[in-house]
Amino acid sequence: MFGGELANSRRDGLPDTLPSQNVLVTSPVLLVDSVALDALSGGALKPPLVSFILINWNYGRFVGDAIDSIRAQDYSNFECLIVDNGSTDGSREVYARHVQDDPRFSIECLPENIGQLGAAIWALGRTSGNFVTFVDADDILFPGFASAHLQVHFALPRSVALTSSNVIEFGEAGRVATGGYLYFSRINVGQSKIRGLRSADTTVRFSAITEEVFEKLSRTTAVVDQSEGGWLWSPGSSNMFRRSILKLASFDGHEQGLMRTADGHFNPLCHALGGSALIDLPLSAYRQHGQNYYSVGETVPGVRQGTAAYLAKAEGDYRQTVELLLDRTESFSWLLSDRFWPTVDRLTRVPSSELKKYYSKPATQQVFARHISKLHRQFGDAAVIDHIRERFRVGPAWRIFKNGLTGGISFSFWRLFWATELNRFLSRQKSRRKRRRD
Amino acid sequence: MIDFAISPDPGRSVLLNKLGSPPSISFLIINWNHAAFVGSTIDSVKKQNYPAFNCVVVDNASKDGSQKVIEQSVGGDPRFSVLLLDKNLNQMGALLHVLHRLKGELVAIIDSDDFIFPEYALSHAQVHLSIPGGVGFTSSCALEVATDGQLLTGKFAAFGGQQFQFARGISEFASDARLAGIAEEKYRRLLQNTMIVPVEYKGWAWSAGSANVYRRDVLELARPYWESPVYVAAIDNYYAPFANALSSSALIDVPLSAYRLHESNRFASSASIAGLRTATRAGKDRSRTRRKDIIDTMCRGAHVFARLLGQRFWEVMDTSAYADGQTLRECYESEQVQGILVKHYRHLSGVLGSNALEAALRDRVSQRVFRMLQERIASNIELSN
Repeated sequence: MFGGELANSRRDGLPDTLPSQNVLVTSPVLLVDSVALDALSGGALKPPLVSFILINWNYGRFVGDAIDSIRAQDYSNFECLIVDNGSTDGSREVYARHVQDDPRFSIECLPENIGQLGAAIWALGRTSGNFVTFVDADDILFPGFASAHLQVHFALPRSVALTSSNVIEFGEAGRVATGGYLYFSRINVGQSKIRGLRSADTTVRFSAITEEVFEKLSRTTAVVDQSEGGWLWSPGSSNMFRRSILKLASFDGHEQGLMRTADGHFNPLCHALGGSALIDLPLSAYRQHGQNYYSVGETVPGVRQGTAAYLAKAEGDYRQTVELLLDRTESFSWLLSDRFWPTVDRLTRVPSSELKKYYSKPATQQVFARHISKLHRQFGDAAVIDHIRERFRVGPAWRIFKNGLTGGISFSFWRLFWATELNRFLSRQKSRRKRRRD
Repeated sequence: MIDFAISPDPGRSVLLNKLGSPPSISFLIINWNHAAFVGSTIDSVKKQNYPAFNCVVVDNASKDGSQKVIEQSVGGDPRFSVLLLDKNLNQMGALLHVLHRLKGELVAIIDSDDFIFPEYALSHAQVHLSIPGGVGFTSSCALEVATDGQLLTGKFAAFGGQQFQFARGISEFASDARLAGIAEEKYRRLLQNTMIVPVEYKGWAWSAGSANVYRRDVLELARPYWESPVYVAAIDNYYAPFANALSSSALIDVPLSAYRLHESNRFASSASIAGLRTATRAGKDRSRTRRKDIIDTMCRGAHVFARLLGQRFWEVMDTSAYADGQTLRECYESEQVQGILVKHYRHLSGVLGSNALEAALRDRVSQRVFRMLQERIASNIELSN
């Protein structure tokens, strides 16, 4: 039904999607230096397995289209786990009808909604592909989605944590609304220093990607380094992650529920770890139906973007991501090296002009107090005092240490903290006097 | 039959034909507890479409039954020889133990869980031949694969340095020496996608392990001194930056091997990604320590290296700092390097002249450390007298 609509819209001169006439190729053929991977390695090397994780909560009327679009992928080496997140709308009847007897699919029903992020992490533990796409139940992937994303992952001049492609937005009736997602960062594609793919004849090639499509991908792809901030990506379904990075970015104890979107957590954090590649070609379709709970999560459907309640919810969500970083200080400070503290600031998702205000909030101070012992162990007295004072005023900073440090504050720490304070005060005075003189 | 083939200039190709056989490659497979993979590693060497090779398989006293797998996979193949050690000498230890037995002009050290493609030897040998004046080693693009062989990346993150900063293509100055058995199209592609890493380069631009083919004479020249047969060190960590500083290297941006990654702990991401550390803290510390053996080697062999390198002597020595992103001070003021300098000061001073040596050291350490070094040297000389 949707395919017909889209074909019409294409004739109307709307943006081209990746052509893929031949739906369902039997086995994925990979070529290395023009030789099939199998012949090259006698079976020792294998094509990558993609895990599609399709999370559905009460989108029974859409989820069939999503399943069909996954079955129609021209890259066949995938598994798909359908997670029913406690639906009550009869969604469960729909799954089997569309999956039929496709052995690549499995269906798991959760008794209640544990949030999109909760379900995403739950499903990660039950799948094994090294490349992962979380599919929203109301979206549709184009047949070349997996092969194009994989081709980009393998042909980029440098590896990244995730690839993100553009979308076509369409309305309830299947009519195409726009040719691209508003927040997908075209600017970053244009400005990136690392554009395009490596030479087609010396990279791993996926057979579904013809010369022409490879060239097209190369023209429209750019790497965005982890040092770049902001929201760069298309929503949910348009991203393909490396599992190793998702693992680093996952919470423990998610079974209690994480009532937030998966992309709201994973995209900024995975990007901060390994960078992104943006593909400015629509590889999936994003359905607008007046009930998109994106960036809010299914639990608070009454909350609308732009309202105070929405902002408070979003800030709390992102604070949880910051807390994950602090909770694993030892691991992340090693992985990120001197990018650790800038990454903490970045993941607040607050503009740098607002950071002072953010760190003055009691909720933020509580989070830091909870993990200050780990930070202290990692960075030592002097550095941890500097980093905390850079962010918090002296009163809150002192309370974070006093309330948070296990074993209390030692005399030498006490002395260093207040000596540093005295030095700060004196140097401030000095510069003030100097200004007055000038 | 492999031979030097017709080059664009018929007159010269006749001459090349008379020179005789193409370079031979010695493969060295060092195995420790990789029974699950070493069989396919050996098979991948057997399938090379380059006949001029031999292969030594060393087992580092595995406890997982590797020995049997090795015997079976090698079969009666006369190109292979097997050495079963009763003690684990570790990677560098095993190389130094058998280096004298490797007869090829070129040496490829293959990890026993890796996999090389059939064109590997031919391509590397061709690039070694093509570069006028030669290079210390060639390094090709390696695909990273998961433990089960699933492809993970199209290349090791550091390969090529900062986004392939080196000029691509050597067709313009390549020699005419050309191996038969390499198709026109592949030959062209190979030269087009090869890059030279100059001796002055101060970073890490190479693939890991099995993707590197060294000249044997460079391995011998730069051979580390080590008292004990057990030597816990990674071969490339020491040899790659050292060999490049001595005699440059070439990058072949064509995938010719697969590098297997194993489930890692939380402190390391598995597939390599720029800006994200892959080694563990302990591993990084060890590699930094062992890389300082470059300084030890150059001090002991100062009489040879000074003659070969002339003005470049110190530049090559400084490699051990740059490869770890250290400043010269951090490197030369470290206790390890100070110890090496004290130990070999007399020899160094004899070769380089005491004034030149002092000047070089003053450039590399602070005034205070320099004075401390002088005191230690004085007391060391007293002791030995």
